[in-house]
Amino acid sequence: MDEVTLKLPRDPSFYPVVHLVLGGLASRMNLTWENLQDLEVALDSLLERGEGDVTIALRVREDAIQALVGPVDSELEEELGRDPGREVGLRRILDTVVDRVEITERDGQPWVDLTKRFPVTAGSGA
Amino acid sequence: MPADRTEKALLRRYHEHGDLAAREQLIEKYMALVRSLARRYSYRGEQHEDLVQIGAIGLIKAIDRFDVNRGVELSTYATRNIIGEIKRHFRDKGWSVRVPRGLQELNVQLSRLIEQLTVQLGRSPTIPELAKAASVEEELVLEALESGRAYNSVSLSAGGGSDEDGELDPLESIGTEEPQYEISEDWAVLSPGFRVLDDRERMILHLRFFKGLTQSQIANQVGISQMHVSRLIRRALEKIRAEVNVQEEAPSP
Repeated sequence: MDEVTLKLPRDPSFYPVVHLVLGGLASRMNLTWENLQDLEVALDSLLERGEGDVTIALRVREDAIQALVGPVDSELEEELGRDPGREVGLRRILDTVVDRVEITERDGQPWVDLTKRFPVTAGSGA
Repeated sequence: MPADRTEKALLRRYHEHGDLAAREQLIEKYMALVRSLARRYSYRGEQHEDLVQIGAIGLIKAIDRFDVNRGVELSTYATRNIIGEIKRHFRDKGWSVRVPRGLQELNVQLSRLIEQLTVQLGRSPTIPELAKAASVEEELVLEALESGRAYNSVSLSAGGGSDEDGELDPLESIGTEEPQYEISEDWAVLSPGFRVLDDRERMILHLRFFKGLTQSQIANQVGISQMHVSRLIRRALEKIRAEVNVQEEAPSP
């Protein structure tokens, strides 16, 4: 399993860098434009959630991309555990755009672990 | 009652009694100012309506943070906040407002290709497929897509000549008249962030996040390009995030 890791300031001017790296992987994996949009929406919703630098580890599998994002703020765990109700909150956004969302712990801090699956098409694969 | 007293009364109703209707009235009252200020900056290549939306965030922050007991007029304070928000937007997107013309044109071309290939393939195209169709490198496709979204797909139609080739510019396909959406009563009880969205943005978020439609399905239903849907979803989510942040920062009424 290949992994690409990015560590960057939590500053919107750096977010295009994340999109370009993600796009590069999507291109290599033959992800559709729509799937790429979904992944970008997922990551954008998490980048601002926390203090200091944010790290994004992108793991490439045959039929999925996994993204570990963190550390995130402590309220996020509670927010993800809550019934989304009628809110267009983080839970609803992530449930819509990716296939699996989990909170994991790294160095004693919460991280979000996302998985986006995609159909394997001819010619795909890293 | 003189206008300024009415205004102060509205501010007090909102800040001291949490009267959201008073807040709405203030927002409506000052939207003309937002439009006027946004027009000043439209020449930089951003679509006027996009700048109005950004300016509106500044206005909402101003209304929420305004201290009635300070000797400043809301109009002065709001002007500063609206301009500040617009300038911050330009600063944040600074790298992108200088997008080379070639990338702008490729962005428009890609928007059209996404539509065409979705029909041909029966699914959304991949980046390599887009690159092949546009006869450019995949990296350039990614760069154009990114520049287009950060740039808010700015006035690409200005030189695109949508009338010349008879094709509808995907970025302009909505036209000036907003379609009348059937807004269910549910909207009224949706999350607070929804209040800052216009009807089209609410409709699109509802279809995407409550009905589970894909971007291409929404594009078909609403009659705009997929790239436009993508842009509206991002903008709407940004507005909701900004509104939620303002709510969290604002003193509890």
